[in-house]
Amino acid sequence: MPPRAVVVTSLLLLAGTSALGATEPSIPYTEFTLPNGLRVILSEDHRAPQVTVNVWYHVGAANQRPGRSGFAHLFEHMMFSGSQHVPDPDKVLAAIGAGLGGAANGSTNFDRTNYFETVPASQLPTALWIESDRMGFLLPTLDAKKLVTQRDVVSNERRQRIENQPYGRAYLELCDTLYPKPHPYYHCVIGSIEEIQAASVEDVQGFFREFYTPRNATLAIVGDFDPKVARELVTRYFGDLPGGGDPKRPDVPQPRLDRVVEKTVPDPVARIPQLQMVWNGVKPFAPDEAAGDILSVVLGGSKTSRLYRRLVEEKQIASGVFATNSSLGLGGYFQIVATARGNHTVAELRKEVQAVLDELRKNGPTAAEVERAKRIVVGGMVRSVERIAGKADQLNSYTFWTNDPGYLPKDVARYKEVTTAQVHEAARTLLPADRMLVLDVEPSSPSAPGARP
Amino acid sequence: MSARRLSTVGLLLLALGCASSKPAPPPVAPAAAPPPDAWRNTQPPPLAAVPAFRAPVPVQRSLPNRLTVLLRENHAVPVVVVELAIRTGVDGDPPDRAGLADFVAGALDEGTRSRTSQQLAEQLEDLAASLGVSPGLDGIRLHLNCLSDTLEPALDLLADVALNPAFRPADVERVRGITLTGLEQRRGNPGALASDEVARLLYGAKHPWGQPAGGTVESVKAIRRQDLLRFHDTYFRPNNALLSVSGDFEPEKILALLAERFGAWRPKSVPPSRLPPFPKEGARTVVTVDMPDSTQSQLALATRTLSATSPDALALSTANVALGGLFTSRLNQQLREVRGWTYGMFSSVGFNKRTGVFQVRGSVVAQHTVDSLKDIEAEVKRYATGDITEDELQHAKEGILQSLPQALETNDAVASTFVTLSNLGRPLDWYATLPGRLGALDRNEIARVSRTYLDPAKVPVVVVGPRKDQEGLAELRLGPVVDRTAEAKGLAARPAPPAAPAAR
Repeated sequence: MPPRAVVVTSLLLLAGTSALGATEPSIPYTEFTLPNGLRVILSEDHRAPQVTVNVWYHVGAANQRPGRSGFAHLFEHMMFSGSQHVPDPDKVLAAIGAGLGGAANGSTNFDRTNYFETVPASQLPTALWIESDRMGFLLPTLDAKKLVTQRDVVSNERRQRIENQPYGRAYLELCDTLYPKPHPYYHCVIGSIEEIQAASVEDVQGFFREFYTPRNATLAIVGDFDPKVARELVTRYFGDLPGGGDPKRPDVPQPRLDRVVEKTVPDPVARIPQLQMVWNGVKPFAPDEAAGDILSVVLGGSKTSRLYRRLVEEKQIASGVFATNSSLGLGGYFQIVATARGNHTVAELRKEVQAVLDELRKNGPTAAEVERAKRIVVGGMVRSVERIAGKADQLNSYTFWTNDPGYLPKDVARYKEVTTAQVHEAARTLLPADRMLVLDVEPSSPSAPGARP
Repeated sequence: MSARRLSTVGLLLLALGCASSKPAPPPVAPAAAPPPDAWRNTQPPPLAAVPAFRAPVPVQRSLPNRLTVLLRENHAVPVVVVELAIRTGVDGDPPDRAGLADFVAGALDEGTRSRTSQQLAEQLEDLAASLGVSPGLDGIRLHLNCLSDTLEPALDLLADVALNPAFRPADVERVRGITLTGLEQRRGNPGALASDEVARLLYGAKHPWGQPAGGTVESVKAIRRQDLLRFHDTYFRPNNALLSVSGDFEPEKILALLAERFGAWRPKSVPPSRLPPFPKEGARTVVTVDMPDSTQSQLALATRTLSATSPDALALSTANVALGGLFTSRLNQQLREVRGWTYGMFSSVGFNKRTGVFQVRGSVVAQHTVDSLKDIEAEVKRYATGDITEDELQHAKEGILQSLPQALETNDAVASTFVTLSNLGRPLDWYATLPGRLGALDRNEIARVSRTYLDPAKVPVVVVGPRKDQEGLAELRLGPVVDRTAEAKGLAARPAPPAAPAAR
């Protein structure tokens, strides 16, 4: 997902002007870099006596090697298993009030891994203590027992979030088709249980040494703090960590679909057939990314979108439909997903989606559609900066992808500047009719009404 | 994206609050020849105390037609959230019309007398506004989020949807078709099936809340346009509603805007609900639903507890956080970090207008279904002793207190929270006064409420997973095992109004 930040006054948009109003959103910040290479971004927000600490490591599934699908995420779990001076970070976090409601967590995606905690403003030192210790001292207390436990926990995460969710298996099929092994995205971020279980302590150690260095991370602090104090604390806790290497961003060519690939995915948890049509996509902040995002909204991002109107309202053959433009560091994907209604079939869905696409490729969207989609996207940016945790993650995201923590107004402008002609062009270039993946997800439980033998 | 743990938003709003930070650990004490990193062994002391968080408290006003308005100004972002809450939801479903409130909510924003479904959607999208309609056990919420400079046209749309829904036959039939598809999806979804079984156990097979969420195929097919119109005419009344507003507005101005749009809404007495009594707490049962292809078993243990207005409610919520609400609680530690059988196992205490619900919930690898239940039972038995350590209590209080600023950070959350407080009959300054009340709780109090309300002998069990992995289930002696596979998955003829919405 491209970072979507803030807002804009839609009156200006309604007036059709692209001028930036006085309420144009931005995230004010200052930054500095420690001698070991750790880049630090500070943004004060004194609405509540809380502070959020957010660390991005520039490593994700993109950095995995064949045979170790799911490893970047498994590694993320190990970062909570205790470090040399903080043997039980969860307990420390619970004691300072960050034990509930997702206040402290981490997440891994295709390109990066983050760790964050929102804590009382007075506990900023403890948050930095925890983050610095696992950045510098994870390995001395790492052992096989911890790893075995987390291999099982992550295997259960896969069962819960993929295998036991309707259409979860189709997502794995998508990754494996668009990014076949040895591409590092195969099996998606979560990986296969077999390869999760194959991870060794040596794998963890090697990964840590290669990627978990101050030079390969950025630290954002947002909330109720004094920047002078924060700088002193960051220097104290992170300043003496060795900088380590500066690993190169992975550079793997994006495999390209060269024809229409059709696959049937049996799904024992789904009860209703689903169609997915997928195309090779773009990288974050690529020149045509914004037009692709607007295209996804025009096609399937709202109730007035073309696919919703045609499949759900007019033909009434779908119970739901959406389109997304997922940008990823090694090349993303554009996806249309339509779930059948009643006894309607994937073949019927496909026929209607094709018709909508043909029409859009031929005549393009209307100016009104594009304006509406831009308002939705830009308006949606607003809400994301309402939270300090969201702002911290966004600062790190802009830094990672654009090298500019202050990119937010430019990001807003990027969407506002999209033209109808660009969206028309995107429909033709991003969604070629002769190069796509078509997934036909079919219920496979014997009791499902539409199950095929 | 994969995360170490699922985020559980919202559960914190059930309780929250406490004293300030823990006392600081002693400063670094250098030994004779300390290793260079020895200073890192000690958790740093907190910075100087900062002012405590002040939870927002709304100003309460009302329009001449008795419509209550709660206002909270917040100019942090140019956004206004208006939640219009109708105080009747699934509890307004007639016995043979399970799913009616959900149907009303689904069809409400599909067109008004002066706007088609598409026109309504276009106008909302042109304002970059969102309008969601959510049915619940005890209410229906219309939640508008708009940019403050388009507040007026956005309010027009909210009012039109609330007051003038058209329920055109074509729109009704479209919603019905989508709803029936959704019901079919639920039959394959272990989590949804478990929720329906829990609801049936908690509220009873004859109670509207004991029906499957969204109704049954039979009941949804039976709903007529007249039923929608009648529900709307009966319950969508200013004397049965509440407006909750948070965001970037001027109070007097927004009151005038609201009066223009909602002032002519006519009050009408709302019939008292005639709901059947909840089932008696009887012998504990173990309900199973077979999912042969599932790689996990969804487990749930659930029981009714007490009213949100009970003097014991806060203590019970706090006890729950200590025992099973935190990542570090023993329940999750045992099942996840010691055994490695789950991605997470937590308990919760929640409330609706009439009762509270205690629930343990999580999914475990299928082959350890019975082992997991054995571990869970041991933990729940500990709940009933109320035996927690001082650390556990402090961590629970601190977690509740410190999660408040995040839980009440957005206008969306604040507007919805005021509605919840009002629905539960709690004072609107509930969160503002929480620190003091929470601070007063001690371990004796926790032990007393735990013993009173969390007796595992009264907590039925639901297991949705492969039957082949349930060998030894009866030997756990949790209660008689009842196989409801056929009923739950719609494979057998159902009694007319079957089962229920649970945690929404």
